[in-house]
Amino acid sequence: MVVPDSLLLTLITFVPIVGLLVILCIPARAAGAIRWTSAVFTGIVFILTCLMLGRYFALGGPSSGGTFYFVVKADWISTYHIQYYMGADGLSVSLIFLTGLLSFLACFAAFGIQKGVKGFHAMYQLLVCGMMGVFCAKDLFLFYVFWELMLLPMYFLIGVWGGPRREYAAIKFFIYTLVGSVLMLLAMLALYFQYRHTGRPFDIDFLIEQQPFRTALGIQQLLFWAFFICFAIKIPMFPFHTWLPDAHVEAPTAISVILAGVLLKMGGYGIFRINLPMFTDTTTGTTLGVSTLYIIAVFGLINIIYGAFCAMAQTDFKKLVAYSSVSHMGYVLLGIAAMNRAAVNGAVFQMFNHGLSSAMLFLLVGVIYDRAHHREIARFGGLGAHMPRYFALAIVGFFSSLGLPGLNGFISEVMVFLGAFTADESILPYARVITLMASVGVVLTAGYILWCMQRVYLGELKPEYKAFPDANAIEIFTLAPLAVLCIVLGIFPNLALRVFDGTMVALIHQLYPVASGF
Amino acid sequence: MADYFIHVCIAIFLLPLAAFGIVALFHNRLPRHGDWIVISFMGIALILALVIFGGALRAAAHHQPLSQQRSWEWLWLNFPKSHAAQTGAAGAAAHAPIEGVSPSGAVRVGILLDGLTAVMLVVVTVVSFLVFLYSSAYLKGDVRYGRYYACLSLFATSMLGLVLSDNLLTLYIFWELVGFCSYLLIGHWFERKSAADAAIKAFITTRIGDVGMLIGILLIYSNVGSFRYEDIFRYVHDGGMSDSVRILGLEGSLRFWAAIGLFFGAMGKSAQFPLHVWLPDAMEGPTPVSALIHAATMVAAGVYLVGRMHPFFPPEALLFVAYIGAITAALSATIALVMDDIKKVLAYSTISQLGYMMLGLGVGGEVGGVAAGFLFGLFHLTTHAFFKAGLFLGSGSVIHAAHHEQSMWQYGGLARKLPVTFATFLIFTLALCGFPYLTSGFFTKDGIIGAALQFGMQHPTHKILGWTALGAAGLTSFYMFRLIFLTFFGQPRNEHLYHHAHESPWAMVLPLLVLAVLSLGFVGSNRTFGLIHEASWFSTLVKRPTPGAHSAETAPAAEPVAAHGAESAAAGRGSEHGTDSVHLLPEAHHQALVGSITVFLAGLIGAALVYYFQWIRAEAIARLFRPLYVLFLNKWYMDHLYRACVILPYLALCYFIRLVDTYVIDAVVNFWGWAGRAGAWLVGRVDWGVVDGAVNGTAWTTGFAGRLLRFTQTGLVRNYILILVAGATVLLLLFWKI
Repeated sequence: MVVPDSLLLTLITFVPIVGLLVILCIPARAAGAIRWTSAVFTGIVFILTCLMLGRYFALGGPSSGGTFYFVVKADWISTYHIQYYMGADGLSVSLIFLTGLLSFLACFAAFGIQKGVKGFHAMYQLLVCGMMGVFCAKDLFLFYVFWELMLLPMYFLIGVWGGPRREYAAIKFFIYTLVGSVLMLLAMLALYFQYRHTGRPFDIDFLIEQQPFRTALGIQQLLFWAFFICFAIKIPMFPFHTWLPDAHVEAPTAISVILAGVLLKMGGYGIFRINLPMFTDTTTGTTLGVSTLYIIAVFGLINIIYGAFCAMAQTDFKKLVAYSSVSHMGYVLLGIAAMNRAAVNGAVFQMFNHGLSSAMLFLLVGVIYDRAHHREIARFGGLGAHMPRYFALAIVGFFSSLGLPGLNGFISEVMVFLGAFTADESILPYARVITLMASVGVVLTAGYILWCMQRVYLGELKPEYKAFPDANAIEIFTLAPLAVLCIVLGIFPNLALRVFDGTMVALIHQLYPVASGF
Repeated sequence: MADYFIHVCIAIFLLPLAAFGIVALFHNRLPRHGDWIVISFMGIALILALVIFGGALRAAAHHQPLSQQRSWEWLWLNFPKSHAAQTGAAGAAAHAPIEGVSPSGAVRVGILLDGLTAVMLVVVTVVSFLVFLYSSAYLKGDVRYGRYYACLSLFATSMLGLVLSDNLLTLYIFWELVGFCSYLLIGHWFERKSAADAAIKAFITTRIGDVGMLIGILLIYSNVGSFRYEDIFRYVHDGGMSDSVRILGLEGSLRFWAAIGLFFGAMGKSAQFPLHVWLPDAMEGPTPVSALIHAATMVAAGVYLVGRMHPFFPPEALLFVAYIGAITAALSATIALVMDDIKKVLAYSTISQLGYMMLGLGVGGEVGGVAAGFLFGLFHLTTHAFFKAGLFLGSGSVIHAAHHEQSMWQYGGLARKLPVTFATFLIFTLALCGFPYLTSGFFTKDGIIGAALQFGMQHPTHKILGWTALGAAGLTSFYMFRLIFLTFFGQPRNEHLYHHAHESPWAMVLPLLVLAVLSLGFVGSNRTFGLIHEASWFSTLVKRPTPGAHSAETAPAAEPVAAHGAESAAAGRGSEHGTDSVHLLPEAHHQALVGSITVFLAGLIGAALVYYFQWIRAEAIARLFRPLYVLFLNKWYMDHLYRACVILPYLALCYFIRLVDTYVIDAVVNFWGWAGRAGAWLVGRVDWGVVDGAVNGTAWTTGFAGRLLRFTQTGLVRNYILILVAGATVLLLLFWKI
């Protein structure tokens, strides 16, 4: 292998920083050079993530069950026992790959940006670094640093390059996330003072081993929910979701893609990485007398139904897609709550699939926004016949989001449903009732997606859109790989499932050592 | 019967899939947009299906019914045993090995090839091939010709996958996919708003049914731990899923509710009341599509599902099926009486016939039912597929000739202009109405009516089922001959249209001829193919699975298994060849025969009196029965009802929730933002006014004092001396006093 395993994650995380430095050296007027430099560096990152995926398989990752690979560990700030500790298991590997792919494709979607090209791409590289770092970090403090690092470029990318209400949206996004970060920071401080004497207060492995505050469950619950709310804001979970429609709508297309495709996944990732394994007693137990998983499942259910209702009523194309994200991420919460192999795998797969399909949807919206300069659904019509290549890709994207069998979204939805429905009532109370109610979401989703497609693509072509060209090469280049993945993973879901199945099974075993059924 | 049949099945499935792939990607570069690829691949699939069909017939003749299975690991799911283990009665079953799940926990999916599958393969490939051929003329020069053929091919793939599935999971997948193809094809001319609306209506309505189906599948899977039909049958045979559950105040076993759930899916797909509303609108699609998808194959999928899962349905659920079927058959026949659009008449007739099939399956229960009902229900599916496809293709030929005018009041006298179309159309109509002995439809429909009548004899409370079926048959005869008379007989009502009408090209006529042959009596008769005389060829092929007996043949190697075991198990029900007795009681058979011939003639004569001889004026009847006429014309107000009770409240709820999101939840967020700013402003004022004020105040005081004192600093020595002297004087005076 050309790249040593231990160096791989470091490279993936910090190659964008090199990209950032190179971009800073290019004069601002050479916009084309800046764009292509940015594309090349995200391309290198993507190739590295592919390499990582290949190595993961070569090392026998799928059958290992929760082992971390590509581990790198060094002292960083030794005074406070902070390490530079990275590693990736099945969950990280799949999300790192997703991040690599989407940041590469989204970079091309940003080619249309004319204002402040240098600043945009510099920020973009920083953003990629932050996102990768979050998925690689195995040290809680390092995790936090990347978590915050990613926030900064995102704020500027929305606030400077966004739409008309960009400042409002950027600040809303920033403050929302910051509130969550503060909660996480407080929880981290509690952990630090508890475990300072051991010399490994931020080591996630160590903390999982220790199960912090096992004897003081009240405090553990507090920490659990502090972390959980921080991640729930990112997911975004009702009622912390209102930053998302604004941020999505105002952000430029490329950034919406990253927001929906990657940032939302960080919430789910955090829950899997920190909440569930670190605070098992709270996870499997109760909070304020109510089963913790039940609370999560109910919020998942609310997300699914509420998001679908909201999406139906939107008049802005992008906002509709944004609310569809709220609805889709509800399945992730429901899957987490059901806590069996089908459901948890379904939840992770749903994150991955939502990353593909929502990225496609935002790119699709971007294509017509670039031409029409508005996003009002009611003003469109008949674009399908006029832009056949684009329409074919749109059908894949929208129906993947709708959960059509044969496409990826269906598999993860059905896995969540099956898992949640067969969930042990002692693990998730009222699992069946919740699942039955959630299954209504299937119709609601079909409703808003088909109605939206009808108003935008079907019907008579409006005369003002006669001059629209079909999707160009760059647009097809960004959309087609996602469409292909949607179809391939719909037919061969095991390609993706085997990446993280072992990790998830290990997680469930850790939470419920006696649970049978494997 | 060798193992290679499974490979043939795979080939049948992959052929249209390959055609879809090629045409979808390259139709712009292929000559004729690649329609020849789709048609020829389907032709090969048709030949292969006939090979399998022949094999199945041969096997049946040797009393070794075809039953092959092959499965592969597909999806990793786990199955927590807790629920199954808890169902006490099923305890034993829960511990039995489940074939549909690998030791690794992966779900196995695969192919099941038995008599029913063989029949369905032939039906699907024959109709598909003919419709594909027909379309090449009907849609010549269409804007989306290539896309149309790609969709057709994908549809055929999905439909074949549906009938080949050996489990509910892949069945559900293909079930949704055929719905998706239907959506695309109904909306083929999506520039028309009505077409786009119809497409969305079809998809959503069937999806509502599919939620029920999904719930049914979830219930089954969570108990059985497998999706495979065989595992499911065995599980319920051993007494599984018998726990009583109360839903909406109704008490029923888990099995009952799961069956009802599955049937909801079937109601959506097979357009059963009250989910039938999408099918008439679906006629917005091109006519060949209506023939293939919305008459012959896809809409029959619901019937197929109920037939396939028949051993799973408990008697109460089957009764529900029977009633829904009867209501559907009657209700849609009444609407068909007053429709003016030729395709709408046929659409309602399709719904009505699907109702018949459901009725047949419903009364065909194993316990207390009439076994013949099960067989004739599925048999009617087969015969109906041919003559209904023929009717639609025939109507397409008329519409094509009439320059896409679909109102029958614009036709008249077209028999002279379209002789072949007319002749074949007449055969199809006779088959649909059940012209005695010469047409296939007679045997199968008669069988269903007979089964329903016999069911009524066995259960006098349900006598109405049989009489409804008989009544609807009379209506069928009336509205079909109304269509015939209005279209083909009498004087042309639109001279211009009549003048330009012409017989269709061979690619459209040939399928009509083939289908006409397939609608003749020999298909439905019990003497065809030189098989066992007591039973028709169909009943030797299609048998209800007998769950208890199959356990011997579930070896993973999927050896072709002779189902002698099945026969021995069935022997308990006293049939020689292992089939359920397909014979009706003589009196039921007699009643059905006499009754159906009578109503057939009554309908024919009635239609002739009104529309041919015109001795009775249609308007007069309409006026006489005005309330009924209006009710039928408005389709029993179902669409209005849905609009008022479902769609509008739903949209209102959506907008309400949007308002909540904006003005409640987001308002809370914004309030905190505002509160933060207000707080900051306040602190700012305090900072500026008090804290900074103090600092600035000190500075200002100092400055002011300095400015005042500056006046004293004049730089003149005499002033200083003056001040000095004055100061000294003051001091002296002060001290003096002391």
